[in-house]
Amino acid sequence: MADHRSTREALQSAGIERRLEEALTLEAHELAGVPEVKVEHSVRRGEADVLIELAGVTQRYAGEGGRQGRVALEAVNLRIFKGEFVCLVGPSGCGKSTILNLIAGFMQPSEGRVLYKGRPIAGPGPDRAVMFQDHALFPWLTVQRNVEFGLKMANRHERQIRKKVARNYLAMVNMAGHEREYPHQLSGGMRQRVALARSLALESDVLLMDEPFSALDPTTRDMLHEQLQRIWMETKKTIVFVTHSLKEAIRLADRIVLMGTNPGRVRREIAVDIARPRELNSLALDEINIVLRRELQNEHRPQLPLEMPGLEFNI
Amino acid sequence: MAPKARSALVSVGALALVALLWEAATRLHLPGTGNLAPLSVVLAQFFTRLLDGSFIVALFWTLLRMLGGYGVSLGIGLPLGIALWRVKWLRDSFGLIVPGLHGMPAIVWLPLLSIWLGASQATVVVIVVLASVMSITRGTMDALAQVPQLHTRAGRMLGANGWRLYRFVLLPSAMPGIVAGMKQGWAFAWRGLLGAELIVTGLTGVGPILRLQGVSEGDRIAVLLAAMLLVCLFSVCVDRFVFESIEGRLLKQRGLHPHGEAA
Repeated sequence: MADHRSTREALQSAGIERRLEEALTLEAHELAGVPEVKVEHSVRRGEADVLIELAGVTQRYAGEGGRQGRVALEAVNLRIFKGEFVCLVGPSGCGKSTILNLIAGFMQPSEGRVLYKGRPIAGPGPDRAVMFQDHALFPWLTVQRNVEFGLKMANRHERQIRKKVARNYLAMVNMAGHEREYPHQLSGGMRQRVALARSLALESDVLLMDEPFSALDPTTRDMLHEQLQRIWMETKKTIVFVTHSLKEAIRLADRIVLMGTNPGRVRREIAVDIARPRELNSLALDEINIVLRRELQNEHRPQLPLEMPGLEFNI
Repeated sequence: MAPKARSALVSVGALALVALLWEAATRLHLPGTGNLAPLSVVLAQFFTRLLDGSFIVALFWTLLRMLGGYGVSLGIGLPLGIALWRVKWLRDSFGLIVPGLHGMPAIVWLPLLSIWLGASQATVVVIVVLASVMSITRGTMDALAQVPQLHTRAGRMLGANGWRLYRFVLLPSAMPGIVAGMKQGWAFAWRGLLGAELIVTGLTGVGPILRLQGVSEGDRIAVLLAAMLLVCLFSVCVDRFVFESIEGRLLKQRGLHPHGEAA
């Protein structure tokens, strides 16, 4: 039975990889002629299910001394539906973290609109929990107090109940028994788990994750992928997950948004309909790595000579 | 032997050696020791004056001026530091005043203050304020500037807005730097205070003892050295038991080591 399932999944994931590979190896102008991969969802989604929307978003970072700055995003349109697990994937400089920071409210778009529940996002808030690449725990607070922090700010619950809630979420990420420790006493993987518990304790509808597991060793990452899938299945949160790793995206996402650079833009969206929980072994990981490398090369090659007109590069 | 015990033994041994040489040199009347009292005589003076209360009373008055002035400094320095960090036009307009006042030895103010306020308690307390306030202001300002953006973002995301962001995120994050500024402020204030007490007449305190009011000719050197010992011991105690202990706790909590022990 288990064999049967994993074989089916392997086939399915191979299909997705092929589609991904096609998309990745094609340049933007080639992509224009190729019919879009239809984004399918197990549940039909309508306007009412849109939770987050980016409409014509352009993001420029100010250059030095009034010079034209870098364009991180250009005319990006993206919709994220209620309860969806979306992965933003792409090489560095494609603006995937910028999208996350816009949704989090850490910055405002230069052009276009970023909407949450139909309203423009004014700033960060506990309705959109963020998990950062670096744990961002407060080093002066114990694990327990870090997880409680959001509840305390919201004046939600009495002190004793807050404590209990925090303990529940710590248990959910397998961190029970570490309540009184300080962040510096924990390993990198444990810190990220506490950070995850802190985000979950906000009990927000949205969880924004900016390459949260990229600095961890493969074993820890695998374990956290499992926990995250389980938590997502239990809580039905809307998760936007930024990563540069395709295998991570395939493992986690309902939908992969593939991004490109110069300027940062959405190249492709691919639905992933593999049954959950997804196992690590059912995915052909090496192949994906090769594809990713190729993608990175494609992205960087044409840019260098343009930036330095007086010089020639032999690449 | 534990490394801690060994380093304690070495410090005590070094002190004992100096004490022994001092005592021997003065007792043997070696050349150049004519104006130095033997250590035993100095210690006798020290304990006599400690027990008869005269040192205690002097230290009490000095400490009272210190705490009064330093308290005012905290009251001004912390909010001013926050305001200067937060408000750009304030920073621009105070941009030269803060380092100017900070860099100037407070005792330079004494002649002017003596004209304005006379030889009074107020003069000395104001010197204490002037000596320490800019250390605290600058310490607060610089520490806030060094709060990682990640802490601020995490705090706002978790719902800490307005004063709560300061109370629960910015100030705790900046606390080690703020305490470093407070420590420097204390040291500057202590120097300014004793300088002022040495000059301003008609007060009770440690400074007046150093001016040898009412001390008989023969005791002068021993009393001077005993009073210096009092100042020295008190300074060390404050540093050790107040600032070092606060700093040590703050850093240990964050996994940092004040003296690079684990580096």
